[in-house]
Parts: sequence; structure tokens; C-alpha cells
Amino acid sequence: MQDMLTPLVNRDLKDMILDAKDKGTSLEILGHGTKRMIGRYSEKNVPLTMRRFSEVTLYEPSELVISARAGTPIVEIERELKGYGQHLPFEHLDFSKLFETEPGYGTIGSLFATNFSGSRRLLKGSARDHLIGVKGINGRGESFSSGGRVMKNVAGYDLAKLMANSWGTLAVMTEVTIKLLPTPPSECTLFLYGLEEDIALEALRTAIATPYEVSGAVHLNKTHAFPCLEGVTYVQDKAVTAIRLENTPKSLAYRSEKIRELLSAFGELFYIDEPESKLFWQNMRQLAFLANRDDAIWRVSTSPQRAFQSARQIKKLVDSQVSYDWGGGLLWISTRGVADMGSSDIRRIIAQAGGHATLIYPGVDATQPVSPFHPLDPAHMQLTKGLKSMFDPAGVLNPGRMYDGV
Amino acid sequence: MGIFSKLQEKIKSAIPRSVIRDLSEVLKPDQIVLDQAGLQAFETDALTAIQVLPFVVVMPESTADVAAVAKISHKYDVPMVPRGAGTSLAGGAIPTSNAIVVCLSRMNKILDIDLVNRSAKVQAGVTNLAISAAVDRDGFFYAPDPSSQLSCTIAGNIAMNSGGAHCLKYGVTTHNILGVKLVTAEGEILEFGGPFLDPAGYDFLSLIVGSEGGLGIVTEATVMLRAKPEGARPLLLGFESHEQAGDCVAAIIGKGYLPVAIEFMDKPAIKACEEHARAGYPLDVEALLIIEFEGATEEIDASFQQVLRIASQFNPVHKRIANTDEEAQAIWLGRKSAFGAIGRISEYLCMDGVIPLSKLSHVLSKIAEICSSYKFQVSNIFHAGDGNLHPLILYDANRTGEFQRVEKCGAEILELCVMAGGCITGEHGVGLEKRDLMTLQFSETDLINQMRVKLLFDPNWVLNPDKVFPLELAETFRRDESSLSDGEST
Ligand SMILES: Cc1cc2nc3c(=O)[nH]c(=O)nc-3n(C[C@H](O)[C@H](O)[C@H](O)COP(=O)(O)OP(=O)(O)OC[C@H]3O[C@@H](n4cnc5c(N)ncnc54)[C@H](O)[C@@H]3O)c2cc1C
Repeated sequence: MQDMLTPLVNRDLKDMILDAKDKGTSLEILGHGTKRMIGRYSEKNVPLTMRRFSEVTLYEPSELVISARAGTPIVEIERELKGYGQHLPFEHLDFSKLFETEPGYGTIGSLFATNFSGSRRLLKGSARDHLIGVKGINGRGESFSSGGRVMKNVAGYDLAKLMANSWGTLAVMTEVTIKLLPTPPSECTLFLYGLEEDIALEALRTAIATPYEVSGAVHLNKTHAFPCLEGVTYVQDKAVTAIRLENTPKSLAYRSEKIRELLSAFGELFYIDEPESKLFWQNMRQLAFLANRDDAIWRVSTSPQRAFQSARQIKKLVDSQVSYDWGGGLLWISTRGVADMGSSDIRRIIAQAGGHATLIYPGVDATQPVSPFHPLDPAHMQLTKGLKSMFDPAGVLNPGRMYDGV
Repeated sequence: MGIFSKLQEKIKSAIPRSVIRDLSEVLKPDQIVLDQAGLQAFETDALTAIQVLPFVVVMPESTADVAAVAKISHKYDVPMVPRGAGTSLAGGAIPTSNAIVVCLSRMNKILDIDLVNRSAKVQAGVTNLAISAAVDRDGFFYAPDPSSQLSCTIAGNIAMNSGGAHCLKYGVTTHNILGVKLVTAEGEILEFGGPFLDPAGYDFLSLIVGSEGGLGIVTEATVMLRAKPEGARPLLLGFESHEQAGDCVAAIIGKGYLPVAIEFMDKPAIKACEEHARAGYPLDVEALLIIEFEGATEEIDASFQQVLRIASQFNPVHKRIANTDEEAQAIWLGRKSAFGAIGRISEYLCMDGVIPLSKLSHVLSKIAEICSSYKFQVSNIFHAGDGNLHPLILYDANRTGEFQRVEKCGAEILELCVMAGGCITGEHGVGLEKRDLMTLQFSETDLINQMRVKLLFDPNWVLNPDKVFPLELAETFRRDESSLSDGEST
């Protein structure tokens, strides 16, 4: 492995980028590297870690805003927020169980660069939605900033949000500013057991369409459910459909009762209080349900309207298990025994339904190379390459990480 | 120098008549406006101080129409100015005299409502309120709520990234758009996103939303629908000082309460509203807060009790809770008619800066100082939850030179907002009005990075060309960029 570059200040980072540009080499931009398993990896890139860019630079609880240098550990930020009853509302995913890396790692910059939001995305938006300001250095070695520390800002084009899901291929973020939300005072979860998928999805839809602000709506198949239910009182060896509510205890009593009435036709609803409710959603965030290291794992964003049909088609063609988050809009698919990890079938079916599939983990059966990110059509690819060449014309930053030639 | 005095129109010497001929080959006669009286309807938007007669106005009825027009614009290198309802307060839809104005108001169909998916697909010219109206009976709504929502179009909202009073809880347009169909400057049709969350690859939607008609012409949008709350009611709090009101807002948010809206009015605004709308506002306070909560009756009552408890530390001298829909409407009536009420007293320039809440009282007293140094009266109405100020500077439009003076005063206020850590526009956009003020907030490199995005989408710089970026900087950038690409290609 090549020596790791570890810039401390903007000047260092800029020099390293310019140096790579001059020499015609390229850099692998890392936070802690916890998501290194995802996307394409090139031995040629010189690793550069942002881990020393670590500091909370501004925190104004009464404005719901925090700024931090990009390499600040997420856990440090969470610790800071906890003291003020605030949180990062989008429930970013924690891959440490899945990739068997040490828990507690991951930087705030990479959180936004990858934009993996969890179950609460349904109600509260994605990581990208909460990224209100960015400072960074692009592949030309230019420092720039976009957005700022106020949550409403429509001056110019929003390059801050553009950094989300760009996987460090356009610019290296040096500082991010985030809109926070108050941590809900309490939560509860309603469980339904053993529902057929289509019925479960209908139950979730019914719950989401109420005014009760459902902040988590998942259906886990029997295999996936088991690891997530560890430590939860009502364990059953069945598929589980879970609906989370977050509010004051009084509201929860009222709202859960309303939902229970509304959903009674779907079966018995079990009320899960804290701390089990919290544990269940933490397991979700840590993808405990996918912890079988043999399977390949796909994360699919699609239209909830078409989710069930798509899953059915996929299961017909590929040996796979499917679970649903975001009320049906997010499919977690684990596949086994197929050389291309089910890529061609999954991608074709999802493209027809609308949406995209990301390969999170290749599993043990993979023999064919597969693009981890959903291939783009020619028009989007042209624009993508165009954007890359505007920000990083020499291809210094993570070249090829997302797509060939980008 | 005033903001507008730099308006240097680059009128191309001769616009070929063949542009009209080509347009009439792809559009029906009633889709092309050429007569003086017809064109006059498009010479300005809600920034009425500036008027420029366009060259021609077209009224497309489909994406294919828009693409056909764009191809003609591309062929002749003639600028296009997209237009929705023309309610832009920043002059975003004001044409240049050599422009084809592409007005999408005829494309006003709701194409698909998908309640399973909680999304709706609509044409560009559908009004903001029409979307909520279409799904109201099913218990859904479209969240962003600019005050102009009765008339402004969804494409205008997308172009300006509009928001309203309720965006404290629900976010602005960028948080509520799932996909767009777009015609590029060269007449290509592209789609970004769709009825699913977080599209693949680079986040092009984040660029399109807020691009002020500079990256493409939006012809369709997929918007996110949300379940309607059971109810919503405001309470009204009056304070003896701005500081107390500002500190109260900070305390409410800091203690973990997130109302759906927090609106702030200062004394001159309260007086004007009360005279106009008779909403029963107290006249003996310096600042009023309207704080709205959503939920079931008991939930709202519980929130009110908590807020009153927090507020009590700041000595509110007036408290009024809306217990019924009528009382709620009365409280909102004053606020909602505020701009009109002040407009009855005087002409005004509505500013749109944003500041960090912690700087509120400092900024408000500075605004008062700045305005008094120009001998202008000012009235402040704003979204306090997110620090989006709307100082309305009153001036006499009939006095020569007054508009230039009021612009200057406004520019000083926006500079103050930036110095305080804020920005020059929270919801109205940059348009013509604030393009030269962009350098207050952004470095040259910041702007160059943004202009590169424009160049990628619009290589000939024909889409709404004189907006958003300072003219001189844009000119230099384009010159440098073209010499660079010449150099690189050889
Ligand atoms: C009384 C009043 C109150 C207002 N209150 C608010 C408020 O609370 N919040 C807020 O955010 N704004 C507010 N506004 C400003 C304005 O209503 C918004 O900016 C609105 O989104 C503009 O929509 P429109 O359809 O009128 O667009 P237009 O004014 O026609 O155009 C605005 C911009 O959008 C571009 N555009 C229009 N259509 C397209 C298209 N199809 N594709 C690409 N670009 C396009 C134009 O080129 C222009 O740059 C208010 C305006 C008024 C007059």
C-alpha cells in the first residue's frame, strides 16, 4: 500500500492536489475509509486522508446549525449535539457491522460525500437536504465555498448540495455546515408480524398517509428480521412490519392509538416502547439485517408504487431476499449464488420501474465485475463527465471511483 | 452606482427576421406574441421598476414546443428568458430586448397524482396552490408555500427555490422536488430524478433548483406530497423590544420546539397591518411573533403551554392564543396582508436578506440606523425561525433619484446581513436585482465555479443570460474560458 497523505490545513491539501495534478497522478480521498468497500477501488491512487481536518468550528444550538471540518468523526459531532438535545435527523448508515470494521469510525465529510440516509429520511429528508454549506478544494486546486450557515439561502447555484453523493470526485470538502433538528423527546414502534409483502406495504402506506408523522416504515422478511429484533421484547420468527412514531409521550399515546385503529384490519399491532424501539432502529441503521457476509447486497431506490412488483420479478429471476424501508421506496436486496450478483436483472427491472440500484457489497459468489453505481444513460453520462471536467479536469480526485472516466 | 444602472444590455445589432419565420413554422399563430401591446405584458415582472420590451414572446403548450423553440434560439444564438407567472421580485423574468420570452403559463396541467408514491407529476405552469388544491380532499398537500402561491408557477418556484412561512418545518422547494423534465439551451430533453428518492449519480436536481432559468427550461416536475396535519393554529406574542422577541425565538428552538412557522413583525409593520386588516394586533408593542403549531387539538394546546412557559422569561406583554379556526385566520390575516398594507402607505423596496438568529437585534438596530441615514422609513416583517428578513424600505417613487437611493440603502442592508454571517437572498433569488451584490457573499473563485456549471449546461450563454452573475465578471469569465478551450483543443 502506498504512503497515506495526511493534510492538516487547507494549504497542505491544496499543495497535494496541485502536486498530483502537475505529476499526472491521482488521489484516493478518504475520511476514515469505512466506506472504502463501496464503489471502485484503484491501486494507482495515492490515498489521502482528511482525518486530521477534525474540529467543530461553530455550534449554535438556538439556530440548529453546526459547522465542522470535514474529517471530524461523526461520533464526536453526535456527542456534542447530545448535550443540547439535537441530532443529525437523517440517520446516516453505519456500515461497521456489515464490513466488520471497528464501530465508531466515519467522518462527517464522507457522510455527505456518500449521502446514505436511513429510515427517517422518509419524514425528515436526506443527509443532502441538511447540508447547508460547504467549503472545499476542487481538482484544480481552487478553494471555494457555497451556501453558508443560514438555512435559507438562494444566492447562486447550490454547489453545497452538489457535493452530496459525489463521492469525493468533484472536490474535497474541507468544512461542512449542517442543519440540525431537535431530538424527538420519545419514540415508539408498532409491529405487525407475518404479513405478506404486498399487504405489509399497504399497511405502511396507510400509516404514512396519516397526519401522525410516521418517521420509520419498514418491512423486513423473516430472515432479515431476526437479527434486527435482537433485544426486542416481541421477537417472533416471522416477517416484521414496523412503524415508528416520534413525539412527546402524550402525543405518542394518541397517535399510536389512532394508527392502531386504522390498521387493525391488517392484524394485531404490538406496541414497542423505548428502549427496545430505539434498539430496533439502531439495528436498522447498522444494517444488522444484512450481516450475512456471504450475500451480495444491493440498495435500491425506487417508486413505492412499483416496489412490490419489481421485487417479485427480481425474486423470480435471482435467488434473493428483499426487505423494504422508506415505506417501500428503498429496497435492500441480498442475493446469492449468482456470478453477477443479480446485477443485470436487478438493474433492468429497477430501470423499468424508475430508480437505481447500488451494489453495497459483492458477497462471496461474485466472479464478474459489476459497476457498483447504477449505470447512467448516455445523456446523463455526458453531463456527468462534463461536470467532472469542470471541477477536476485532470482527474486528480478519486478517478473512476463512481464511473469509468469520471 | 445603483444596482440597476449597470444594466448593460447587449442588444445584438440585427435579430434575423427568420427567427420569427422559424418560430411560426413550429408554433401556432396564437402561440407567438409580436404586437406591441401583447409584448408589453411581458416587459417586467414583480420588480416593476425595470421594464424592457422583449423581441418576441412564445407560449409553448408542450415540452416538444419548448424544445423546438430552443433549437431555433440555438440556431440563431438568440437568448431565451423562461417565464412562469412573472411574480419574481428579483427581476428574474424581465427580458432583454433581444430575447425570446418563453412563457409556460399554458402548460398548466396536472399530469398524474400518485398517492401511493406521495408524488404528483405536473406541467411547469401549474400554480403552487393548484397542486395542494388537487390533493386536498385526499389529505395531502405540497409543502412550500410562497406568499405568491396563488399565482406563481411550480417552475418559477423551482427556478427560484422558493419557500414560505412553513418552510421552517418542511424545507423549501429543493427539499420537496423529486424530479424535473428540462429542455436544454440546445433543445435536448433531459429528465432528472423521478418518483423516487435520491437519484443516482451527481445531484443535478440540486443545481436545477435555484438556477433561475439559467440552466434549462423546466417543462415538468415531480413534486413530493405530504400528509396534511390534523390541524394548525397560531399564537400571538407581543414584546416590548426586538431583543426580547428574538431571544424568545432562540429559546424556543434551543429548547427543542420546532413550530411549523415563526413570523416576526416590528412596530411599523404591526401598525400598517392593523390599520389595513383589523386583525386585533396590539399597537403598544415593539415586536410581534406569530408562532404556529400543527397537530391534534390537544397536541397544539400542549405546545402552546410549553411555548408560553418559555416565553414568560422574556416578559411578553401581549399573549393571544387562537382556539378556533376563525381566531387563527384573524391572526394570520394581518400577517398575510402585510405587504399589501404597507404598499397602501407608500412604495417600498422589499429586501430579502438572511441572518443568523443570534445577530437579530444587532442587525435590526443597524438596519434602523442605515435607513435613517438615508431618511427612509423601514418596516420589518420576516420569517424569524430561519432568520429570513424582509425589511421593506419605504420611498417616494415620484422623486427623481429616489429609486437609486433606495437601492443603495438596500445594498447596505444586504452587506450587513453578509457581515453578520448571513446571505443576500433567502427566497427571492438574485435575478437582475442582486447580481452585482453577489460579490458581497462570494469570492471570484466561488462564482467561477458556479459559472462553470452554467457553461456546461448552456455553452452559448443564451438562457436568461444577464441574470445572477455580475455582468463584468461573467464577461471576463466567458472570454477566458473560450480562449482556454481554444488553447486546449489545439
Ligand atoms: C406578493 C409576492 C409575494 C411573494 N412571496 C414569496 C415568498 O413568500 N417566498 C418566495 O420564495 N418568493 C416569493 N415571491 C417571489 C415569487 O413569487 C417567487 O420567486 C416565484 O417562485 C416565482 O414564480 P413565477 O412563476 O412567478 O416565476 P417568474 O417570475 O415568471 O420567473 C421567476 C424565475 O424563474 C425562471 N423560470 C420561470 N419559469 C421557468 C421554467 N419553466 N424553467 C426555468 N426557469 C423558469 C425565470 O426565468 C425567472 O428567473 C413573492 C412575490 C410576490 C409578488
